[in-house]
Amino acid sequence: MQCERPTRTGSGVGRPEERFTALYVEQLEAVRRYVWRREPAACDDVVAETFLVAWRRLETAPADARPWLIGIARNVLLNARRSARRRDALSRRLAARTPRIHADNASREAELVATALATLNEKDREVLLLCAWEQLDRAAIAKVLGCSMANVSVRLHRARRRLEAALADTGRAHQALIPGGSSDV
Amino acid sequence: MSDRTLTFLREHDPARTLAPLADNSREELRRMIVATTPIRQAHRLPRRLLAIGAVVVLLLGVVGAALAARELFKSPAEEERGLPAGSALFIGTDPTCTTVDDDQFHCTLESAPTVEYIEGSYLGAKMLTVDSTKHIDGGCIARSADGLAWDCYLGEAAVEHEILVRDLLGQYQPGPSHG
Repeated sequence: MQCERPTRTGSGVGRPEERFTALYVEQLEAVRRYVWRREPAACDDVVAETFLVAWRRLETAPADARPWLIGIARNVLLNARRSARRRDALSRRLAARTPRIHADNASREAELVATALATLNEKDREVLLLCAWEQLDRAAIAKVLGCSMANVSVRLHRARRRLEAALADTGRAHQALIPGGSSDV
Repeated sequence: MSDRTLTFLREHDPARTLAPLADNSREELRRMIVATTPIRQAHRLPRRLLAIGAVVVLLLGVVGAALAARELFKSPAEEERGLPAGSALFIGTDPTCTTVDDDQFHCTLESAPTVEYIEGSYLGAKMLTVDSTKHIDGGCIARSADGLAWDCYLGEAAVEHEILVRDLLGQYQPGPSHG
């Protein structure tokens, strides 16, 4: 399974409100999922702010709007985390950039995934999750992160290897979780 | 490259259980957003004013050239004040600058831009700076994707780094530039 190209969203022609509504309807859930995977407690606020920025910058929306919107959401999320770090005593919780596995989802395997993901550095983890969860291709990931496709490829390669090693290092049987165990990358 | 790792991660996607937003909530949010004024319209006036100001100041090119030709000296503290005074993007970012050379500083922002900010990477973004009399004296280039690290140049060095055109040097800029 490879990173997949998402469906294209036509920013196209039409009145701004119509264009925005089309973009909003098509991309809202994808953006919600992206934010919820990373900061469920702030999901509603971050999603609203993301689409507010998108509305204000609608003229610059590309035809394939998903990477653009996820890039905006990522910045909004980062800014929210920075503000939260300063503002309150919950900073450590908010600063943890590890995607959270929710209580109702906290199976043994889910815990294992969260623990293994936490061993990756932030950018490698983000590249891997943009590929696995958001199912963006490398070009789209490069747009989200503002880096080159070559850089994405290197990070993805490294992140996969490290994740597999981390899964194996947890003391649980990686083989039991991923049939076939670690593999060549 | 292993597809099993991606498959495994997708099987443990925490958003698999996330229910779609209810129709009424979705429509309410959409209405609230489109009821706001697009910021680009709000910014048109300052940009136009800035363009008019630039034309006016061009007519005073002799003065500008004279200011540009003078030798520029600036302390790190002056540069730190010159960032938000020159570009709105730096407002509220609390920059700290260190001298790299006679005409170069390295500046680090305490916090990411919020008054104005750039979607995606800041790398390569270029902003103007002013001196204590609000005359343009150089500019900065973002050196990190998160917009916290900037290299700033004075006078000709800023021109050489293609941050601004020579004619802009020494022009009076009463307020921070936008966009």
